[in-house]
Amino acid sequence: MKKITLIASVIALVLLVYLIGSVTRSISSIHDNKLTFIRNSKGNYWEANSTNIQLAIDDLDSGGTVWLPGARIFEITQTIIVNEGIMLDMGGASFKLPEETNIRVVELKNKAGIRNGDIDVAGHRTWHDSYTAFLEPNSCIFLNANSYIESATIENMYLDSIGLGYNEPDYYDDYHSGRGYGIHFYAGDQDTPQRISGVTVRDVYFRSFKHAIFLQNERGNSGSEEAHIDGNTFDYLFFHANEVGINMSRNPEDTSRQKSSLSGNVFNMMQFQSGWGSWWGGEEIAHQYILISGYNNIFTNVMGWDAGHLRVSNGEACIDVPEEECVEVIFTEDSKNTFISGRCGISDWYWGTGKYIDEGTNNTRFSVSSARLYIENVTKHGT
Amino acid sequence: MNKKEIIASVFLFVLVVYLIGSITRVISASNDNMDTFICNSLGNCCDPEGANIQAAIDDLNVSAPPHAGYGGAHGTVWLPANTVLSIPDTLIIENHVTLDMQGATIIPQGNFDVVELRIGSQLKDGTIDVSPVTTFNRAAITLRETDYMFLSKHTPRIFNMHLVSENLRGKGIYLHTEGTTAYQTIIAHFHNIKTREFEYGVLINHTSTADATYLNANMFSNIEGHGDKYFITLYESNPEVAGHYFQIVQCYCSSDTEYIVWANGQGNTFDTFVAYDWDNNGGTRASYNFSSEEITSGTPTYHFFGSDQCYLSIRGGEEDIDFAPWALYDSGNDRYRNRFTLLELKNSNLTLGQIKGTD
Repeated sequence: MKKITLIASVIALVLLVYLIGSVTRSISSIHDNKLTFIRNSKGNYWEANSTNIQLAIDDLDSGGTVWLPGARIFEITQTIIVNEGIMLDMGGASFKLPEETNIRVVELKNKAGIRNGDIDVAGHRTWHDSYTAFLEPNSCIFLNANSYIESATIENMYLDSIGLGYNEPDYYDDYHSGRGYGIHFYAGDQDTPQRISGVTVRDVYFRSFKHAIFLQNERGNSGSEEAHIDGNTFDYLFFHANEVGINMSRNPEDTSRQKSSLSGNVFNMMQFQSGWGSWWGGEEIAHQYILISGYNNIFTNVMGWDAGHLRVSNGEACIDVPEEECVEVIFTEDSKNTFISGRCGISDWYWGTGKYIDEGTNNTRFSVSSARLYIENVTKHGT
Repeated sequence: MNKKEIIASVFLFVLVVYLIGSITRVISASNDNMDTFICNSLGNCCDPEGANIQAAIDDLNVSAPPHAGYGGAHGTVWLPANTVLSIPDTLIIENHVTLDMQGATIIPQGNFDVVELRIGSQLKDGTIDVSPVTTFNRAAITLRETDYMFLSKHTPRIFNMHLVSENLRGKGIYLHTEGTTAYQTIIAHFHNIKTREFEYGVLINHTSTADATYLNANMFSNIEGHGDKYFITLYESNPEVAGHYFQIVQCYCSSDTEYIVWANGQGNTFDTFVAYDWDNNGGTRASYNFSSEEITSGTPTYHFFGSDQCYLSIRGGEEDIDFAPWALYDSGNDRYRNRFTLLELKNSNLTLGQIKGTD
C-alpha cells in the first residue's frame, strides 16, 4: 500500500474508533439513552443500580443535581447520603428495602434536597409473607442537626411504611403501631452547635408510620452549646394511618428552651386520616394527629378526619374508642403555639370525638365562628 | 492505487460518511434531540403527536423487575416544550404516572374530558386549551372517582396548570360523583392553577347517593380565575362535600362572573381570597347577597360563603358584603356548617388567648 493510502487508512481508522465511542452516546429510539441512566449535572452517567446512586452523588464535589430514571425500583441496602448542596431528583423512582433491612434510607446534609419519588419501606404485603424489618428509630428521610442544616428541601414525595399488625402472628389486636419514622429531624444531647432550620417540606404523603414527622430535640442542660430545630416550613401534607402524625419532642430538662429549641416551625394545609382496624390487624388507628412540646409553632388549616375512630376487639363488632383515648391535637407544655384551624370529625358513619388538649397555659387556638370581628387600636389579650 | 486499495478506501469513506451522519444524532445543540420528542422514563421516545401521549403513558406499564407497572414506581412522560398537541380522546394519566408537560399545550379535538387522572398520578407545567371546541361542556381536568381515591392511596397532584376556555364553556377542574356505584371519592392537591372563561372554574359536585360516596379533603392552593361564570362551586345533593381547603385564591371577575364561591357543603375552609371588580356589573349581581337560608334541593337559590377560618378581602366594590351569622353545628340537621370569619385589624395587635365570636 502506498504511503498516502496508508496514512488515509490510519486517519480513517482513528476517526472510526472515535466515532464508535461517540455512537454509544447517540440518541436513538431504543431505550438505551440518558433517561435510563443515573446521571448528574457534571454530565456523567452510571448504570441504573442502587450502588451507583451514591457514586453519582459523590461525584459532585460542589453541589448539583443527580437524576434517577423513573418507573424503577431501587433496593437500598445502605443509607444514601445526599451531600451538601445536592438535589436528588428521583424522577418517580421508588426506593425499597430488602427483607430484614432496617436502615435510614436517605440522609440529607445542609442545602441538600430530595424530590419526585417514593420511599416504600413497607416491604412485602402479601398475606403471611415476611415483612420488612424497618423500625424506629430509622426513618425514610433523616436530617441530623449535627450537620448544621440551614436549608434543605423535601418535595413531592410519597413515603410508605406498614403497620406492626401485618407482622404479628396474632392479628386480633388493637392499636397496631406504625413502623419507623417518615421524616426525622434529630438533635442529640451533645455540647456542639446543632441546627436544622430553613427546611421546606412540601407535598409529602405519609402512610403507616409510628411518627410520620418526628422533630426530636434531645439536647439537655449541660454545656453551653445550643440545638435548634426552628423555622422550618411544612405545606400540603396528607397523613394516613400513622400512630402520630406530627410529633415535636424536646428535652424537658432544658426549662430555659434555649439549648433545646423547637420553635417557629410552620405547618400549613394538612389532612389527617386515621387507619381502619379490622379483624386481621390492619392499619394503625391514630393516637394523635399532632403532639407538640415545642413552642411558638404555628398550625394553620389542619383537618383531622374520623378522630374518634372505631376499632375492633377480638373480632367483635366495632366499638367506639373511649373518648379519653382518642385525641387529635395535644400541646403538652406552656408553649405559645398557635393553632388556627378547623378540626373536623365529620362523617355519616364514624363520628369524630377528637379533642384539642392544651396542657400548657399559653397556647392559642384562634377560632371565630360566624362573626365579624373588628379590633381597632386595641391590644387584646386573654380569652 | 490498485483495485483492493480502491475498494478499501471507498469502504472507509462510506463508513466515515455514515458515522458523520450519525454524529448529528449525538446529544448536541442541534434541534434533533430528545427534547423534541415525547419521551418516557423507560427511555422510549416517539414523535411529538397528540395521539402518542397516551401511547407513551401506556408504555410505562412494565411489570418485570426493576419496574413495577402501574401502581409501582412512578414513571414520567415528558412532552416537548413549546409545542401544541391535539389529542383525539381523553388523555388518561394512569396510576402513579406523571405527565410533565414542560410548557406544552394540549388541545382536544372534540367535546370530551381532556385529562383524567388516576390514583397517585400527577399533571404539571402545561396548558389545556379547550377554546377551539365551540361545543365544549366537559372538563379540562377531572379524576376518576370510582378509583376511590381515599387517603389510604397516593394522592394525585396537579401543579402549575393553565386552563383556557372561551365564552363560558365547560369546566376547568371537575370533581364529581354520580350514579349508584358505591365507593366513589377523590382526594387530590391542586396548586398554582389558572382558569379562564369557563362556565365553572372549579366544580365539586356530589350527586351520588350510593354507599361510601363523598367528595372530601381536597386541597387547592394558589388558584386564580379570570372571567369564569361560576368560579368555585361546592355542591352536595346529599352529604357530603366537606373538609376542602382553598388557600390564596384570586378571582378576576368579568361582567359575566356570577359568584366567587358558592358552597353548601360542610366544614370547608376558604382562606385568603381576593376578588377583583366584583361589582363590575353595576351592582345588580344578586349572587353576592349571602343568605342564612339553607340551600334547598333542586335549583340553587341561596348562596352562602362558609369557612372555618377565612381572611377575606374583596376589592373593587363600594358596598359591604353581608355575611349572615351561622351556627357552627346545626344539631337539628346534624351537620357542621361552613364557617366564616371576617377579620379586620386596624392599628392594633392581637396577641395570645382565644377569641370567641358569637353565633
